[in-house]
Amino acid sequence: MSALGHGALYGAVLIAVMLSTVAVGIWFERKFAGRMQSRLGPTIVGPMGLLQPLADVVKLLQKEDIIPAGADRALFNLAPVLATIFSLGVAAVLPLSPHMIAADLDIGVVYMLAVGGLMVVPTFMAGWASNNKFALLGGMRAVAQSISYGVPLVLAVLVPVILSGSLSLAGIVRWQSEHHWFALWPVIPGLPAFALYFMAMLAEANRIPFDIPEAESELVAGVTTEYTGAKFTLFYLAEYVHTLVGSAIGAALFFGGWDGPFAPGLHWMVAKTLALFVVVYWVRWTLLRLRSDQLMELCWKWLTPIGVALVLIAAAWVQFAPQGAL
Amino acid sequence: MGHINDTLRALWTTLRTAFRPTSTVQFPAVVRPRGERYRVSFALPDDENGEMACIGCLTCERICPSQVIKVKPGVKRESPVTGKKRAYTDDFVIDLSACIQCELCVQVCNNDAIVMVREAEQPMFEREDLVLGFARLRKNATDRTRSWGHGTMLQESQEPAKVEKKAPAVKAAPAVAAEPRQPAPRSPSRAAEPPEDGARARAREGARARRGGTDVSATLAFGVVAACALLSAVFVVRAVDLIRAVLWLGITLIATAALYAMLGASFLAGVQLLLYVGGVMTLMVFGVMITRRHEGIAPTATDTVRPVRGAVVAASLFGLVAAAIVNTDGLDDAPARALAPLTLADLGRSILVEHVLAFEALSLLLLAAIIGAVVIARRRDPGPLDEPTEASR
Ligand code: SF4
Ligand code: SF4
Repeated sequence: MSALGHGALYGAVLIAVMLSTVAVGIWFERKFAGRMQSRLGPTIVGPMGLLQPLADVVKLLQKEDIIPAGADRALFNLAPVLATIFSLGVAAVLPLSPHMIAADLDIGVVYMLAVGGLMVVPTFMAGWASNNKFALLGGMRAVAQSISYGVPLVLAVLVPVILSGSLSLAGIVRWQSEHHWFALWPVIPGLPAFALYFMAMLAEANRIPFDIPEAESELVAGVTTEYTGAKFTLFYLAEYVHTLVGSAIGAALFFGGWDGPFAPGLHWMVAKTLALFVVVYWVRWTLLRLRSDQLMELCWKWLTPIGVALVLIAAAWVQFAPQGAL
Repeated sequence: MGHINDTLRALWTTLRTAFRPTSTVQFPAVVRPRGERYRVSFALPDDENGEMACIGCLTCERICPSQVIKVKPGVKRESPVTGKKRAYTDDFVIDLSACIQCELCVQVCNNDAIVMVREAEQPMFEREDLVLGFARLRKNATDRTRSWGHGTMLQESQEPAKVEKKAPAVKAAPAVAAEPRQPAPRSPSRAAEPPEDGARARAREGARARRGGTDVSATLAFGVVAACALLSAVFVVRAVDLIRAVLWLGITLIATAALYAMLGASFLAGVQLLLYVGGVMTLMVFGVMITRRHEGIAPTATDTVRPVRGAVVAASLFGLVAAAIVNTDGLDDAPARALAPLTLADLGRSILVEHVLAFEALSLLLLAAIIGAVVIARRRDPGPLDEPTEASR
């Protein structure tokens, strides 16, 4: 019971922390996006606009809850809930510090990939249930996209798994803190694998340049076209949480997670996660959306072969590298 | 390479911009200085003798591209100030609502009799209020600040012979100065933190306790999950809407994964989720979406042979699996096995060493399936080698 209790406690704390991080993240994104476009961003609500996300949430929750005629009501209502559950569910295996892991699964990496991969189900469900052609197109694109990014994502994650010989996220971080960060050494499978992971993560979280299912310039709002009020908020939240968790996992897999000098492990983990989070927004507000076929081409013709090569290199490294180099 | 280069350059540009002063300011709090040539409204000023300068020559009326000026020339008479005869104007109207602020009227006036002023009119509620009458224009000459230019000066500055150095426009000073922040340098040295196995061990202990623990709760959990799997499987078959069937199938697959996890085969559970729910189910949805109309497909109710055929196949498959399970030795101590699950290394060794032949055969089968699928898919669209037939023309 004590382990279960600990897990539940950490889980609750983790969710609370993540939701507040998301709130600050939204503020930060708007501010950062503003500066990147030479604007000020939010300034009015609260000091430096800090309360803007709060105002956003209050505004969203006040909106009328609309279910379109002809919608598949059960699926329509279930989709945002599932999206939130899945995106928060991945966080269970996040190693925040040597002591703070909600659930240190032996197969944390597989769990992370599996639950993260489930995200496509609510997205598709929403698109299907909305009884709206834009939403349906968005859902279809989400499915097509998930097939494309899945393979490079798994291949990229395999590299640190092979190098550290562990499927547990905490195990991988521990290995890195004892040896070296995978993004730094061995550079060749490490750094490109991180790039691969990063791109696939963006695609999984439907972030620009891979926000093809949403594509507001083509599909109104894609799968979320028909969603309003609280349900839309949930989708919005799920997307942010997904990105945040994806950044945290990237930090754990390739940048040594909690490992770092002078400060407690938790601080390092949070700092690295937020740094990656910022990069996501940096990319988001810089690049343009890829077309569906361009994404497929990128994933299948470039990322997948590169991923296979990286996995082979990683295996060769583990097998043949001199002991000192490891 | 071009794409990567472009991407990096775009990222660099946005990053640089993010640390530069913004182009915008928060208006009521910060008021940006207006440019030297800022100009909004008009005025009819006096000449050096203190009389209204305008002689009603109509030049400005003619040059105005928007045709918003209306001048009514007056009669020539002796000036009360200088005693010389000069022309006057009786009325002067400018319709600001269509003025494009081109300043041409100011430029062409040889008498510097029309100028622009820096202050805008007050917000108005009627469009007619934007029509500046004679009195208003005269009043503006004394009440408002004149803008930079007047006719003779502008004409002079544009004469080709006397090209002099033009005073550069004063740039608006940036109101907000941002200090570029330097990211803190990260030291690569690391203080080795002792590997903490406490939480891990505790979690494992708990997991073990849960697995082998109270039989009742385990059985209950198994019952619930198994019921979920079975029920949703029934719904898969019963569902009329194909997409719903696929989603029910998803629940069956997730429940199966949960069963694996309860048996201690967590890796298998994860892979089940990853491959079946994340992959196969998605592919099925994809297949449904690109091949059928989205209303879903109703099963043909009239067909009586197919259900029977299906039932026979399902029953034989069930018998086969049941026989295999019954004939497997050592299933009685299954709980004991669950306590000591296979490690991944064991799993890998068993696949790649003991059963390597079966594994390779399976890969070959899958490869054949993929190639077959590609061939079938390819035949549909005519390649460049296909001769266009008479019919297709
Ligand atoms: S303002 Fe100048 S150009 Fe216009 S009518 Fe008067 S004198 Fe002529
Ligand atoms: S500024 Fe241009 S548009 Fe306006 S009144 Fe003068 S000539 Fe006409």
